[in-house]
Amino acid sequence: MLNPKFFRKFAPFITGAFILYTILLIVPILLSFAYSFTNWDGYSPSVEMVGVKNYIKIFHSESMLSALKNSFVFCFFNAVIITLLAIPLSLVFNAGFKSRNFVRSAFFFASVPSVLIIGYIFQLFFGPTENGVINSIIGRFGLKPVRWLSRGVLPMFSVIFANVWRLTGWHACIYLARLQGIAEEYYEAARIDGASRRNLFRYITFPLLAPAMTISTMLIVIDGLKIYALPYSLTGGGPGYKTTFMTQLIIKTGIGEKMVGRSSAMAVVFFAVIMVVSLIQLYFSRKREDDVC
Amino acid sequence: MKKRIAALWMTALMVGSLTACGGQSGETQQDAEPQPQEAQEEAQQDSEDEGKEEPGVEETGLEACTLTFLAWYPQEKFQPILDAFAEEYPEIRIEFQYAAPVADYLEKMQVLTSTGEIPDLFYIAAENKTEMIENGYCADISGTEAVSRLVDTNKNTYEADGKYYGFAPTTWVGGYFYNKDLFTELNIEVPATWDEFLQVCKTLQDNGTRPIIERGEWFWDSFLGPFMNDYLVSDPDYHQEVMNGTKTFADGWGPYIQKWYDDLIVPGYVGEDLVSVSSQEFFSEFATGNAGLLAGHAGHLKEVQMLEPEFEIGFFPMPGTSGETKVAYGAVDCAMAVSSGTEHVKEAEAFLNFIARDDIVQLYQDMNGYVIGMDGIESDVDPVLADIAKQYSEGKISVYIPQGNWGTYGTGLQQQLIASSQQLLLGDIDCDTFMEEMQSKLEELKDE
Repeated sequence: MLNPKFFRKFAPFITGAFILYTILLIVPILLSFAYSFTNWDGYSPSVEMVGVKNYIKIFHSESMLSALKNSFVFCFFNAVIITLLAIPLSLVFNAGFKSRNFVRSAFFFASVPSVLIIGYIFQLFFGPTENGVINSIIGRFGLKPVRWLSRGVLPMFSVIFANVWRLTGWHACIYLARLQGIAEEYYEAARIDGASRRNLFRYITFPLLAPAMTISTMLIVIDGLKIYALPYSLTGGGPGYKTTFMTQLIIKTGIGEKMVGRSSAMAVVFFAVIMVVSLIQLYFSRKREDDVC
Repeated sequence: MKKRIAALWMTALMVGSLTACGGQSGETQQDAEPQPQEAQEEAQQDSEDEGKEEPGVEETGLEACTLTFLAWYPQEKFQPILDAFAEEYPEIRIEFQYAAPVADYLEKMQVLTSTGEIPDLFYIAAENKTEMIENGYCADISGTEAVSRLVDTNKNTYEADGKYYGFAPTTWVGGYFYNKDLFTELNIEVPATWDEFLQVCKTLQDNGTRPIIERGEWFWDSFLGPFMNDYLVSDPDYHQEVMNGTKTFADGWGPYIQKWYDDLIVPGYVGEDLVSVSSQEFFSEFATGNAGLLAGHAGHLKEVQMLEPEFEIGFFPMPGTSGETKVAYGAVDCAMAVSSGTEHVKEAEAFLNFIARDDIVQLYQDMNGYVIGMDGIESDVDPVLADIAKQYSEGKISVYIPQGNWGTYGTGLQQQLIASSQQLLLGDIDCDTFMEEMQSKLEELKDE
């Protein structure tokens, strides 16, 4: 129950944030929902209602299903790989070596530049010609250039790799914050009982990282499903539709194909998907927290 | 109470700073200008305060005002023209905004039309001209001196129902740039026919050089030579027929896509790795001599020359099978348009007329390097492109780019063209499926 005294004290701040949140987020979501029942092209001053036609079309659209699949594949591998790398990295960050602040900063820095810029930088790295950074390196060992952005699953791998590089340090900092909150007494007691370092991690550190894991994985999942700038700059969604994700398809459909009504329907469905996935994930994460704590 | 006032003050500051940031997204502005009406009042007030008239007001009959201008070219490129205009018309201020073409520009324009905040001057392009004209966002500028000076092709590109809505003073003409030193070293003659072109590709490939470098989204353009010069010249209304359903993509494009696949893709002259070539690699592969030919236009030539100023470059248009080039790869550039809702029609038209002046249009041409499409003005293009520019200016050749003929479906079909051509190059689909995908995308867009 909200404390009325507390509410009165901070009402101006809450009101300001609420107005901003409503204008910038709630109103566009409601407008998208309204547009999804129209045939608006984004330019015409007149709009016709078309009922659920847009929803019927998108559920029969192969490009929508393909983009949805790509978004989930991207999201799943991101969540798994980033979590597997970020937890050990946070242990390194937490270790008592001299240059740890520098190491923390260096890893965190990857999340600072614009995602678009990171995409373009990785495009230079993964370039298919001998002028591509990676290909020029492996060329010195007599190996043939690899088509990182066109062959088989490599385009998806490349986008995932770039995103993992970008976010691992950031998520390691989330785990680090939690690690620093774990009381030293637990470890001391365990050491007196003769626990090995492995067991310290398994029975103390890892379970107590559960709240951080809940936040981290939820952020990765939401960020992964919403990803736009990285594939846009790195692969352009190609080759073909191999790295076209839902957000890119929504924008292509609305802006490029001038079907704002249909793209709004996609946005509404995708919003619902993200919400459901996030809620499920939150439920299981909280349940796990309760089990271990 | 003091605390509450402080809290309100902080909230107002936060709101102000956030909304200010929101306004700057994705654009650059010359300065933080007031709104046009306010600016006009301010300028008039200043003028009255100083007790003298603004220079030029009496001579030109134009009102002091601020024109908002959403440009297709960045400000640093446009600045010489803006400076010249400011000197000539000090009473008219240009509030310059820029959105990068094509996707960002279209998105920005779409948002501005939906919110009713259309700038006084803006660009229209093949991708949005139909919507902008049909929905009445563009003013009829048929009576301006600027439009009257355009050659027919440039004028008619932005015509609807006998009225002209865009002023496009330049046209880009493209084809293949070649490495002159490499051609001399390998004793290669400049090809005039498709067969000779294939022979050039083979010689380059045998020499261990990549025959053609293209970008991942544009490599499909190498099929255009035979299509334009063998088919389109005898059926110039082909795309119109496809749009109205009397012909299909397979009817016109089909045989030429197949020919492109058999002649260029199967032998590897257009390599699989082209699907992911970035702009940077596109230029560097050619400039470092790894590729013998680069498909592009004047803008690309400038980039290569910046990378390697001493590089000897030649040019030939995309050839057809017969040898005579009648249609070149290219298009009339995007056009400046006046908003139908502007309160400063005369002033906006004065800006267009100013750009149409002999000396100023040369500045415009310096900016993009394209061919001037105006009567009686010679194009000062790069010597590499002098021949093709002359042929275009003299009306001996016309220009063609597919998406310029697809009207309102241009961007949608172009996206499909990119995706399908990439799938074809990677062997995921065949030529027939390519044509079917193009056709079904058109049906889908028309159905909407």
